Amino acid sequence: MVFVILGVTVLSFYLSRGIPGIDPVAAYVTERTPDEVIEKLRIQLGLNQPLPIQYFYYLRDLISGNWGYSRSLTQPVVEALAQRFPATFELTMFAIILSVGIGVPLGIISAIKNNRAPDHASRLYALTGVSIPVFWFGLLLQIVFFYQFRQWGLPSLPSSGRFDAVLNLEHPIQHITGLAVLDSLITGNFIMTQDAIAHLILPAFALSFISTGVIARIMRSSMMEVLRQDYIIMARSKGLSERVVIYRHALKNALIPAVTVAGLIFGGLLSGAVLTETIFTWPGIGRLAATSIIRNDTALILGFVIIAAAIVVIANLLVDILYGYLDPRIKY
Amino acid sequence: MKGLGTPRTGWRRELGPFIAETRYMLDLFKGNKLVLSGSIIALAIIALAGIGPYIVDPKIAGRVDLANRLKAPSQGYVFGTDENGRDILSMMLLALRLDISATLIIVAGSLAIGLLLGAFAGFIGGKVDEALMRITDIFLAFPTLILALAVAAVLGRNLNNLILTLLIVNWPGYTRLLRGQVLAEKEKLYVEALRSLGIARKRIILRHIIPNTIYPVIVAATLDLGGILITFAALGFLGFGAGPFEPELGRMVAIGSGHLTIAPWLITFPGLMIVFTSLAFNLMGDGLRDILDPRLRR
Amino acid sequence: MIFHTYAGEVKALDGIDLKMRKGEFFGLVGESGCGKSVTALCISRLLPENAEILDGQIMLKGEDLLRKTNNEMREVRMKRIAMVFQDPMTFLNPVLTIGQQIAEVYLLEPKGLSKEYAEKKIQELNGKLKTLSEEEPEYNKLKKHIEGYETILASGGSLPKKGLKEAAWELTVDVLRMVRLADPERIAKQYPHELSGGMRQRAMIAMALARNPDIFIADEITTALDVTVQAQILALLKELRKEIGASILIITHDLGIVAQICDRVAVMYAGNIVELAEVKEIFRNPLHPYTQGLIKAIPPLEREVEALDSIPGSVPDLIYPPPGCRFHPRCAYAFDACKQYKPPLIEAAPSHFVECFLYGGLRNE
Repeated sequence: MVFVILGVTVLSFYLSRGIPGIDPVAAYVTERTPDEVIEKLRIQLGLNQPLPIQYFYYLRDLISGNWGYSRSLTQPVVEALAQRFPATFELTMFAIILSVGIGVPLGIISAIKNNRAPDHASRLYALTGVSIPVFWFGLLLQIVFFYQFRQWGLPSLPSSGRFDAVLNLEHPIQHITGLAVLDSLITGNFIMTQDAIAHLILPAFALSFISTGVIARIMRSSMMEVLRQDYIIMARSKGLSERVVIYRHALKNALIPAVTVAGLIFGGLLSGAVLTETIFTWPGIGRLAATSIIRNDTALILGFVIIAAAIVVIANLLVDILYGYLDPRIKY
Repeated sequence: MKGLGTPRTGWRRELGPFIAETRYMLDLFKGNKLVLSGSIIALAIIALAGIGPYIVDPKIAGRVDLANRLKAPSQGYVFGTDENGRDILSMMLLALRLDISATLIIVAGSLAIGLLLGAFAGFIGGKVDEALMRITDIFLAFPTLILALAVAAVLGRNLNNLILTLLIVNWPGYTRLLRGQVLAEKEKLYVEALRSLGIARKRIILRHIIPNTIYPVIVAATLDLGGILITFAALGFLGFGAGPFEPELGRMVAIGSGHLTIAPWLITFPGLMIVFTSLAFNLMGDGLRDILDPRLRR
Repeated sequence: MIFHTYAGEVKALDGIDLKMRKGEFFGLVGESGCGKSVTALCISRLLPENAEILDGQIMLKGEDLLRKTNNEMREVRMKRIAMVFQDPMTFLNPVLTIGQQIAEVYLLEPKGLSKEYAEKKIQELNGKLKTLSEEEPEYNKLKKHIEGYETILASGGSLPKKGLKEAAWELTVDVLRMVRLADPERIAKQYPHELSGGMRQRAMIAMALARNPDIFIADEITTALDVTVQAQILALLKELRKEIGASILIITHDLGIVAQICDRVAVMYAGNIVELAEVKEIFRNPLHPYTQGLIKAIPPLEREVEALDSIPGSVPDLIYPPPGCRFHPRCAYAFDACKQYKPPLIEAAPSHFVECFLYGGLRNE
């Protein structure tokens, strides 16, 4: 796993410096920059050194927190990312809660009522989940729940930003963790809590849509597999009620293979975050990535990519630990 | 089977069981209505994409007709017009061509690379295999879209580079898949039996192992079509690939998002197109998997 | 009863008529696929969805189990019927501890425990207490078990709400002790994969004994074990016979086991019971040709044989079973009637029943 992280850095390094034909200096200069300045910049960036040495400096910079400078934001990359990270974290957390909260029961019901109406319904849901592009779905949600609702005079769900700026002026949220819902909750600022949650509903739902389908599918097949096992017959032969058999005996076993895809889902959520944040004007790192593409801010894009990979690796680690907790046969 | 008899030698004897299998599989295929309709639609869409430019004049993409801009769906403009006055239906047909051909190239390409490298790694084993696996590990540590962002950002935002990008991002998955299949198959008893019969390694590989291992990979590729289409459109949405006069479904949605309140049809129809196409591909892939799966479990 | 399958209807059981007496070891013997496990599943009505019981009764202490609702059946399964299966590795839930899997029958349904059984246990444990001195750790443990049983008496047949977990734990450990597992407290906290095969099987038996059932069905419980462990388990069952009052149905394909511990035995073939008698009697005087074949097939210990005597032919396809007596295609003595009519079960000798026209039962139609 350490190797993977190293490899990730190598890849990022290669993308930023190593590709022949791409001049890293270009990110920092314009046509009008005089040549001597360009030369000085080259030396400063260490571009005149052989690649392996450059990589060493790159690695050192990464670890020490120097991820380059974003020219579009005139900020160090690390700062730009750190400022926006909590927003993405909040959004992603809610999306996960939604995915698991909807996906797992859906999968269980599907397995129990196999091949009957609820099963077909949930399989259809899962299928559409993976066939609908998240950016379009988000826009659709906006049209329906924001614009249309307004037209029909129904209370509408907000579609941009994390909270209402005007409201925030009156009841400012204290910045403790950076998570709007949590912060306002702790400080008793319930008006803002409600507002923050309202703002979260649409984007979190859009983001979770695909993963809900994936989770439901996996839970379904996993649960069906478990229910065929001998120990389920044993549990029934003890006279335990069906509810107990499913929730006490079957579920834990079924979650085990499902958990292994958690890492993949995380990755998907991050990807989706880029799109969702753009659509809902959510001030997170995903949106940052999207805008930095348009502005050709390579340093920022690469910084984002490294963070994304790091998150996925950490998520996988957590998943492994969870796995060890669920399955007593695994020892670490 | 019609009275074929059993020829003693020749290709017909070799293929006999294969033909019977294929007929059986086709029967299964026809049985499942949902999957069947999905597959038919998928093929129809591909055909549509192919003939698109012959129905609609590609040059209209370049035309700007501001008098007719942002018209709602009406006569003459079945899906409405966009911000440049172009008929959305026509634009969609042209965009379809781009999206579908890109998707097919990407999947076919990464499949090919994956097959080659995966088989290679599976058979050679040892250090080469290890090294290759580490490399794929690194690629797979990144979420697809995000890696594509990085690569595309570096390579450049034009269309060809976008296709190249997705090829680069997608091949590791297939490589791992095939390698896993090959490794599992190598261990199976029948391979040992064949070797003890003295059959040459090359023949074993070509005639026995490969046919049995590619089925799940083919299924994966079909299922991948939908996903790649969406990813490609997503990148288009973010601003990669097409220029302002090259129609692409994702980009159409992006442009449309600016006119959400006044002209929702700008995003509705291109989006629906993506959804239907992806759905059709997914159904086709599901069907393929259902047919081939019981066979695989044998 | 039959199974509905895509290939056709499998006529799995056709004519099972047996009565077990209280406290006896009843053996059910037959080859693989003859329907013995299916019979067991029928009794507790645990058959898969594609099974259908067409006709018959299953009487337990005067009640017909086939007439019971699902909820009533669940109570029966918990409190009156106990089953132990062949492979303890797959029949135990890998993510729950042994203790959890035993205690759940107490925790989830604390009512309905037998007072007589509790009294009996208290007496027995008190007896053990007398043999120990107060300093031994065993003494206190047994005392705690006694307390657990006393709560049953106190609340008139159920475990108390307060202290439910403790009482259930005591009962669990006690029942693990009953199956002669050393250090039952530790075992209760372990997971199935941490135990050896023999220990797992004992744990399964303990699970079955937890609610003091009326009937205990052991389905091939020694098949997955090696011979030495098998012997231990059989010895255990013999010992337990005095401690528990249940009737035990031993299902096996091994005549040796039948000879060792069963009182009476029924021989099954292709979904039928073909012979039923006391064990000594059946070995001394096997009547049905199939039984004779089975006994002959056992290689003798006293002399060398060159070839093993096996029964010619193979088990019939139960989708299209042979007409008349299902054994007739393999029977050396078959005659015309055998091919057409199914022989009824008749008492050929006192308490010795056979289904074979060789011993009568022919009636001119």
